[in-house]
Formats: sequence, structure tokens, C-alpha cells
Amino acid sequence: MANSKLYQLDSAEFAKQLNILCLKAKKRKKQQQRLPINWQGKETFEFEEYRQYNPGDDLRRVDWNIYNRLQEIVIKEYEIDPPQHLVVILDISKSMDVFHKLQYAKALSAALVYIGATLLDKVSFLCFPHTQQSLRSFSNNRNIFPFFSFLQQISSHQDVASLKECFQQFRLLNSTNINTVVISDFYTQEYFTSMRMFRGTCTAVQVVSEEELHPQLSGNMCFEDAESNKQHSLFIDKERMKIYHKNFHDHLSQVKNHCWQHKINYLLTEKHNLTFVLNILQTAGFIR
Amino acid sequence: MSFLHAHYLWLLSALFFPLIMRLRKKKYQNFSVPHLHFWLRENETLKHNKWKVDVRDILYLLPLFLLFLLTNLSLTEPYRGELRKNSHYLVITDISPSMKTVKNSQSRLQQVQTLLRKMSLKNHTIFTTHKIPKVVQIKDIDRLEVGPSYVKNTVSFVENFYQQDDHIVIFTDGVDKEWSSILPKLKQKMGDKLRVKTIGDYCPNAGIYVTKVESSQLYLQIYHDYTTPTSTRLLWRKLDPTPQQKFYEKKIQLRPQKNIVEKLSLLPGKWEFRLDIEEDLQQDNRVTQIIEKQQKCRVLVLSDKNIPEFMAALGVYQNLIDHKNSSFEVQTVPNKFFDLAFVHLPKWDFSIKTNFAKVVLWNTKGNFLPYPALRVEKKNNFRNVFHHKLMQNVDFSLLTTKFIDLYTHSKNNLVIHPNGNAIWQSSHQNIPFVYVGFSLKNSNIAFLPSFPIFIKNLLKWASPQPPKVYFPTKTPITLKANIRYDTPLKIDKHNEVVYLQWYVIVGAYALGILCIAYFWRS
Repeated sequence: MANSKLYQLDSAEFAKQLNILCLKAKKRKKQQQRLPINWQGKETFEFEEYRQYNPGDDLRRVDWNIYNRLQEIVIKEYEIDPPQHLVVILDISKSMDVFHKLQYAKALSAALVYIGATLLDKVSFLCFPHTQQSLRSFSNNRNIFPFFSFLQQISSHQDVASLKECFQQFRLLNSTNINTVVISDFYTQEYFTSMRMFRGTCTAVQVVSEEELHPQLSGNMCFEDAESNKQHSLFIDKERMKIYHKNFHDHLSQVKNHCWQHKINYLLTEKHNLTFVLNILQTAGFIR
Repeated sequence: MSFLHAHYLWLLSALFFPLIMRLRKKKYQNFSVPHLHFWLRENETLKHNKWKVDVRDILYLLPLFLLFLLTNLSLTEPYRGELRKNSHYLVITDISPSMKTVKNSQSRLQQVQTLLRKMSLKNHTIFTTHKIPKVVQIKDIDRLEVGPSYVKNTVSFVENFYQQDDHIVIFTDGVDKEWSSILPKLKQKMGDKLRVKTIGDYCPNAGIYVTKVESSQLYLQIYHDYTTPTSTRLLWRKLDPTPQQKFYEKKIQLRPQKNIVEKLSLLPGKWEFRLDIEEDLQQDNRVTQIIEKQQKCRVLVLSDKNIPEFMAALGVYQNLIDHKNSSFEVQTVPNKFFDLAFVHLPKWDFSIKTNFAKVVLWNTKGNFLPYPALRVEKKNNFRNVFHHKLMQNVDFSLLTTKFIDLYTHSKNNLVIHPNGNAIWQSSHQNIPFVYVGFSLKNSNIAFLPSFPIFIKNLLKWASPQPPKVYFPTKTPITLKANIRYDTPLKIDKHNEVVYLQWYVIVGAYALGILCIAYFWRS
């Protein structure tokens, strides 16, 4: 099990770790030339089209060669790079509360929000269920530490809310320029149907614990399902362990295959290490 | 149902042991899992019952439970019916030969065996009427056999074991006459605690047994319970070295309430005695007896004249003579066997009597003598054959006779004259004899110093030799051990000796293995 002290989000050590990670991410960020920013976003050097001059247009964008040849004032239009918007969605269902997965997921979310706020144009955070109250958006990392305190206080929730509703509520389904990172254990099939409907770039981060991968159990056990609170007594022997391993690895491969089929980036984290956030950012295409 | 050892019932509390084990086993450890279905098989459903019945558990628990119960019950020894506490039954089984009498295809002994098998033998000790009374184990009931019966010994032996509240049960056919004297006394002493079970129907019986053997004297007792006078014959014959076909016989009259004691003087060896009478119980009508060889000599002197000098010489060796008879006629000789007969008669015929082992004949005529003899007068030129065992340390060179009959054919010569043999040894009808060619009265032999030595040599020659026993070296001596019977070392008054049955031992082992398996599985 990872050191739980590292995931005290309001601690100085955690802030220190975040700064280190942020520096690493900055180094690996894709180099882009400073461009004027209009309301639509950043213009790129890629030429797109000519259009008629309208009064008020910037004269610097008039193509004078065309004017010499055709005696027409036309304006050069370039491709516009849309603003980079990262949405971090955290699963706070009861199943995430087992084996300190939620604490690690919260640490990952905090790191993503912090780095995203530093490097990207906009970062939003929301957790489901409990969506309404949890929405937070940041365009820079100022005043971000109160968010960490808020994140620290979030606990697992018994309610069941679908990811689709969450997307619909924040009108994310039709947005093509939003990069979403869903941090969950994906124990419900419903997540995949929702993520399939999502048009933007989506990265699924499956959080599993060492205890889930290699459980050390034997004898009589009374299992309690974290989400449904159902109890079931079992005698754990080698045969039962084989069944568990088979079922669990089937589930992992099922999630992986599903993401591959629907062009969803998939990442699995079993060692609760905070540097994994760089992998997420790399997979999402923000850094090299 | 009652229990002989009810105090073992507290062990029933051990029955909780499997239950405790199950409770301990069922103490589940709670464990929260994110997704419970990973732990289930296909088609396995969730059950909320924490105490669900596991067939394998039941399969382990049930035999464990039963084994505890059976082990406990076997220790408590449950029984049905009324049990007289502290009472014990001493069963005396008659094994006399009459118990072999068969009626309706079952002998009396078999009837007793059937009865013994039906009895609850836990509180019974079975004795047989052997010479040394034996206690028969339950498993050996079927191997009981008839044999010599010693009722007095057995009853006194059983009385040593008798304790208060014990009961004595006797299985007998009552044929053995000892019962008639013992049972009334026992009944008077024991009262209701004596039970006599008579086996078989009454039938008049006569039997024979040897009461005493003293050197060569043998005492036979003929017992019977005939109510009318019956005449019978006592037959006997020698069985070794080869069984003789010819029986000696004696007529006997059996009178009511009168037993007969016969005294016989017999040669050493194995003898068979029979009572020739027709009756149902034939087993006790025949008896065999071995008469051991005596080192002393039984001597008979037959003389028509008074021979004091000879009798004086014979009287010197009383330590070599068992008993001595003298008679003037053969007919008056008692019906006995003698090792040596000194015959000093004018005439002798071996066919008249054959119950002499060896004979010394003093100038006696008969058909056994070779013919003719040379009669010589006043001769004194005799010579000894010293190497002959009868002539050791004997010198008859000074012997003088008035008349002497000399024979020339004999090979075993003792005293030789130039014209023939004066004293010689031969045999007739397998009876060895020494012939002296002159009579005691016509010679000075009785006054010679060697005469007593000659008599001693004759006595030694005729004395029965003790059997030689050879123990070959390096040959182990086999000692027969009687494993069929156990002498009781201790009979507990309260019969609290717990016999661990085989199923208790097997059960205990199985219990241990099951416990280990159960814990191992847990």
C-alpha cells in the first residue's frame, strides 16, 4: 500500500511534489510559438482561406500582393487552435473507497488540476455522483489550494449517478475540443456506454490496488460488497482464488478492449505513485 | 436401557466438541470488497445466510459426531434388562468323557457350548474340570474338548474365587460319581446361589479309571450306577512296543451301589484297560495307563524243596528286590508279573505261564531243553567264562557236584566242563532263561563265596532298566505352552475391568484422523 501521508492534499509535502511534477510537465510540454489570442483561441501558422476585407479588420493581415495583382483588398485567414480545456472527472462511488483507491484518485485529480491550470487554458473538475456541488474550473493556478482542501473533504458517496447524466449536465457530450480524464475503477458497464457517446478526447484511468490484484486471503471470509452492501460468506481456498483471479483479469481486459474499440485512451494504475499523472498528461496529448 | 458404567456418560459433553469446532470455524472475518461478483463462480448467486448448510461440513461433522457418541456408548456399556450389580457368575463346565455322548446329532458338550454362547458372558467366568482347573476365554468356548475330569479340584478352586453375591452355575450330565458327593455339600453352603443344569438324559453307566499306580501295582476303579446286578469282563493288554492282539481278561460282577477296585501287577509299559459292557456311554469304558519301568526286581521262587541256603543268599540283596514270592507249585502263583523266576522244580513248561520276564532253571526238565543231555557223576573240573556279564567276579572253579547234566549246543556258556556246559543261557518263546545243570541240593554251589555274587548278577540281569533319555546336542527342547487357557490373575469383585473392544480402538483412531483432517481443512 502506498504511503497515505503523501496524499494529504493540504500538506506542504504534497504541494512540493506537485511543483516538481509541474516543472517536469513544463519541460515536456509541446513547444508552441506565442501567437495572438483572439476570442476563438490561438491562431496557428497554417493558412486556411482568403476573405473580403471588412472595416475594422487588422490591416496587418491584408495580403498586399493580391491587391497589386487584382486591386482587391483581401484578408488572410489562418487556422485557429482552440483553447486547451481539460476536464477531470473523479468517481467517488463506494467501490473507490476500498483499499485507499479514492485517496489516490483524489491525489491524481489534484495533480492533474494543478498541472492543467498551470499549463493549459482551462481545467475543470467534477466528481460523480454528487456532480452539482463539485464543479470547479480554473484557468490558472492561483487560488487553487482552497480547491485542494475541498478535494480533501470529498468522501465516497452511496448514490448512484450515471456518467452520461454528468456529461449531459455540463454539456460536454457535444464539445469536441474538450479533453476529458475519467478516473475510476470502472466496475460498472454504464461508464463505457457514456464514454462512447463522448465526442472529445477521452482518457480512462483505471485505478486498482495491490490488494485487488494479489489478495492474500484464506479461510472463512464474509465479503461485503462496498456499493450494494450485500454480504456473502465464502471459504477461501486455492480454487476460489483461481476464480477471483480469472474474473478480475477478465474484467481488466474487458475494460481495456472496450476502450480500444471506442478509441478511448486507457491507462491502468496499480502502484499508487503520483508521477503517474505525467503518463496521463502524455496520453491525453498535453506533453511529450 | 441402562448403563453399566454410567459415570462415563459425562463424556457425552464431548459431543459439543464438533459443534464448538464448527462455531469456531464459522467465525467469519469481515472483508469489504469493491466488487463481490469477482469472488463468485458462474451461476453462483449471493446468499445472505451466513449459516448456510455446507454439505461437506455436514459430511465431516456427522461421522465425527457419531464416532464421539459410539465411543462414549461403548465405554458406558449399555445393557437391557435387570442387572444384579456386583454379582458374578462362576460357571463350571463338566468335561468328563461322558459329555461326548451324542444324542440327536449333538453331543452333551456341544449342548453346553450352545448354552454358553447364548449367555451374556460379560459377568461370567467359565471353569473346566481339568486336573488344574482352567478358565476358558469366550473365544475358546468352541474349542472345549472332553478329557480327564477332576471335579473336586475344580470345585475347591472355584470356591477360592467365590465372593459374596457371586453365583455358581454347573453344567454337567452328572455321570461322574464325584458330583453326587460334592453337590449336596455345595447346595447346603450356597443355597439359591447354586444352579445345576443337567445336560442330557439319565442312562445307567459304568466306567473305569485308574486310581493309583504304585511301582508295578495298578489300582483300577470300576464305578457304575446299575440298579440290577450285571456281569461284565475287564480286559487288558499291553500296547507297546507293538499292541498285543491277545487280551487278558477277568470276569466282574457289578452289584448295585458297590464300586469295584481291581489291583493288577503289570510289567512296565503302556497298557490298555477295557470294560466289556454294552451301554450308551462308551467313552469312559476304556482307559490307557503307562507303567513306568522299575529298577528293582520282582522275584518269584518256585521250589518243591526247602532251599534255605538259596533264600539266605537272596535275602542279602533286599535293596535290589521289589517284592518276593515263593511257592511250591505253579498253580499257586498269584496272577502277577515277575521280572525273575527261580524255578527249582523237576519239570517246567514255558507254555503254562508266560508272565515271567526271565527265568533261572535249576536242573529242571522240559521240552525247551536240547536233547540229549550227558549225565556225569562227581565232577569238579569246571571252568568259568569270565567275560560273560553274569559271571563277572564269579569263580566256580571249586564247584563240585554229585550229578550234572551237560549240554553242548549252547553258545552263551557260563560255566564249562570238558564234556559240556554246566551253566548256560538261552531263550525259549522269547523268554530268556539261565539253565543250571545241577540242583542246589546235589552241589556245593550255595556254599561257594561267589554264589551271592552270582545271585546279584542274576538280579541285575533281570532288573528292568530305566529308560535312557538322550538330549542330542544343539537340538532345542520344545516346551509346549498351553495357549488355549488363561489362568485368571485377578477377578475384580465389582467387575470393573474395562475391556477395550476393537471397535473402540478403531473408533479412537478414526476420531483422531478426522479431527486432524477437520482442523487442517479449517
